Amino acid sequence: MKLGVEPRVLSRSILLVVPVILTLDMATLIYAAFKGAFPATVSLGSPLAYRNIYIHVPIALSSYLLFALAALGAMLYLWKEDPRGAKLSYTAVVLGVVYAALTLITGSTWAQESWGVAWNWDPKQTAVLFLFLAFLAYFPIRRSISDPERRERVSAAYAAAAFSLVIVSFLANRIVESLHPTGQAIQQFSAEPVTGVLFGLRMLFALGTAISLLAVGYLGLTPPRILGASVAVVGIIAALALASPIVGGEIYRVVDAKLDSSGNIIELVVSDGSGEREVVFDNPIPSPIVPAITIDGRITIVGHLIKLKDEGFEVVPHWSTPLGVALYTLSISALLLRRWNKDDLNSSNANTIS
Amino acid sequence: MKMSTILLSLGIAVVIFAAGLYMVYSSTYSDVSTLATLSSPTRVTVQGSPLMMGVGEATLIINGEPYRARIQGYYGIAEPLSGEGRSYAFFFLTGSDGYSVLALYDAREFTSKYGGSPVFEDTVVVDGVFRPEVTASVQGADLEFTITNIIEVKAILKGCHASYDGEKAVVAG
Repeated sequence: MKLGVEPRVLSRSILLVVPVILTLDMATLIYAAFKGAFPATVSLGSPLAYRNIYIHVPIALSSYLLFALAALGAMLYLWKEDPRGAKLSYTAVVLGVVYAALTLITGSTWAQESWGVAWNWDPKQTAVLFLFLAFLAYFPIRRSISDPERRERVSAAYAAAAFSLVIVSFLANRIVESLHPTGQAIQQFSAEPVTGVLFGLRMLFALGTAISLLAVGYLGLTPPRILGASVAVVGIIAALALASPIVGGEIYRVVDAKLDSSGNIIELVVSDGSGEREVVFDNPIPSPIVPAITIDGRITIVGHLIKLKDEGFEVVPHWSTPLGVALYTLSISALLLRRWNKDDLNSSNANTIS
Repeated sequence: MKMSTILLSLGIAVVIFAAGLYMVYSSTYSDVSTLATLSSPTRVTVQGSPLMMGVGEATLIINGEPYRARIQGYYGIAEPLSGEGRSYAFFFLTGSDGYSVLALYDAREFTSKYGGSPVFEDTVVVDGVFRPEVTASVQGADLEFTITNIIEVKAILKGCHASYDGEKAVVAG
């Protein structure tokens, strides 16, 4: 692995690039959470809950990438006894486990709204849980071995073997009936420019963040604390701003609606879960959802969560989206603030790049 | 020794992979047909194909109690003729061998979650209590079924596949 780059130059370059990637990741994340396009009509729940696609899917694919790199590093160590492989593997497992936990949480909170229940032992959910637990077990196994060389060897063998669960997880919703969509559904979602560009950027920058964190951890770099703190502050402010319409006041779900010939809303049937009520507007209100009606005649405000106002209403997001923004940014922040040099790696020279 | 460790790792990978596949296959949803073997009330999660019932009026009878039903495609809303008691949303789920059950869901919860014109996908997964001791029949419109199997639905677990390829929308402003 001769990179032909001075370690100091490489480290400095990475420390310069990481804030740029993080800024782009945060910017697209927040834009997607506030403004991202979503399916006009959905089978169940609030269509706005589908903005979680910009949060959950990039996190999930980042975890797959990190576990794949963990297996790659492990095989490098087992084959060449190169300590850099062991360090790459360990760092990627630490990050991958955090990303897998985020995948489970962001997926389950979204499922609560869009599948009707947060956890139902769906094959894909079960496979990701199994994957997460398998890599979580890496740490007690590792710590139970006191001999450094044996510890690295067993850890590497285990990380390489556990990678097979990434394949199982990837296949789960493709080989059996699952509520979880396949890659084909994601391709259909991102086929239009209004969703495709933003989704593509989210994937690019979220994967960029995962690789950046891996580089920081692998090289034992110390990003300025202000960077980690800034990510947390920006993320929390964005999540609170996104969640603010949800807090206070009664939230209703639109069960049905009537539009006038211009597509303006003249009447809503709303439900608070215990009963329905009709809300008639003296002055027709332009639909806050564009388009107001689909080509096949379905009214797009139906299913949305709203808050009634004096003369009108406001569409509010599902709580899973601000929660996802908060958890993702706080996790990135915590990983940036982590001091990798204090970890239990004994391949002390592994971060030397020649 | 290097090779033996790599081979051991590959061996463990194969075992984990097989265990993972078994776990995935065993966690898939049971078909509605599997309910035919149950003889007592049981909590179940099953999948089946919804039956197109057409559009019209019908009478639903559950354990001798009549309901006035409005059928709207794949589902209907049934209100007790007596004017008292629960109203139900109902739909048929058919298994791979043609075995059908009648799924009953609290009408208020159904409409509050699904809105006025719910979309049914090719396969619907429901979580609920299978009650083989309850009998029901639907008569009227194009329908004449006698059903001896009921699922009291706790939740409809909707796949979201159909949502992705439709039109997209944004919030104005």
